[in-house]
Amino acid sequence: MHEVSLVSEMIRLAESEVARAAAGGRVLRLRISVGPLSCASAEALRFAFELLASGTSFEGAELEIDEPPLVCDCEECGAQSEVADASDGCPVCGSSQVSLDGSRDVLLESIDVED
Amino acid sequence: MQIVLAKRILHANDRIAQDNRGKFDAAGVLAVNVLGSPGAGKTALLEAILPILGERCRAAVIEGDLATSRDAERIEAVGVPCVQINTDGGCHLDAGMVASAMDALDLAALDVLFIENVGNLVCTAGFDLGESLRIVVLSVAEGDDKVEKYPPMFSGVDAVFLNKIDLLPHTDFDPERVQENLRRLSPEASILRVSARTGEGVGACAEWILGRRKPS
Repeated sequence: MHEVSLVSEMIRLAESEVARAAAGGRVLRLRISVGPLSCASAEALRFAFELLASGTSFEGAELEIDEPPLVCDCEECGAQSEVADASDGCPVCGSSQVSLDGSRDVLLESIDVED
Repeated sequence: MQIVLAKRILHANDRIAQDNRGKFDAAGVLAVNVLGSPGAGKTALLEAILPILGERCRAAVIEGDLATSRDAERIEAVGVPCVQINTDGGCHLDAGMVASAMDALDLAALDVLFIENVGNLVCTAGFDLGESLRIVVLSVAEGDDKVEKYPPMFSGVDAVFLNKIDLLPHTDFDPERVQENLRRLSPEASILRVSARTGEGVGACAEWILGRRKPS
């Protein structure tokens, strides 16, 4: 979707957090987590980060992206499993009577700064 | 050193959205985010519902579009106050745009505020506007696979208004498929069948919205 605006928000947020922590060193790594219902693509986020980080204090920093899965609760067999796709049924019994749960959020989890 | 945050990247938007929500609540306004594809019939449905609501409550509309004030003119033609937001190419409304548009409205004089989002099944899902209800207008003409294909849009919605239901006999659209897929993502959501064109189901949509108002 709008990965470029997400990444520019992320850089703004990270800049203010680094300043607040009074961490003066080079930023080594940003770790984010991209929820399965967030509409954001990890690949596009990485591309946007490369583009927007250049010339800032985040240039050369690593962007680590966690992608938590969708969780499928089966109403027939009771199994809780991870699924890749919202149209998948229960991977244990094959039932389509399931409820799906997953985060809509893109979170900035942590920032590693050189000591 | 590691700075641990676990903060939403859109927290700037969230803060404004919470502020909007506080204002809506304080004024007793039910704010409804109306989502859906371009051409699903969001504006047409509002044109049909507003005259019915108008007899029972005071409504207004915020219209979000990339360009033109065409939709706002259509809403004003049914006698309802409307503020147009042009996003100049932006693919979604955000909470800040809604906050600015709210300044042009007298919330104290309103009961229901519809915020018609930009026609888009992807980006609009990611931005909290401060609404209390999310409604997706899905039309029969779009096909019955949209819930599976756009899960973020259909997760956590309060209702799907299945529009252009008059076209059902001419298509192989299966409403049961929509219902089953919606149940996985939004188990509490209602599905209302409606045709803005023929008027079928419009009264039930209006009632559904009125039923979501908090007793004052």
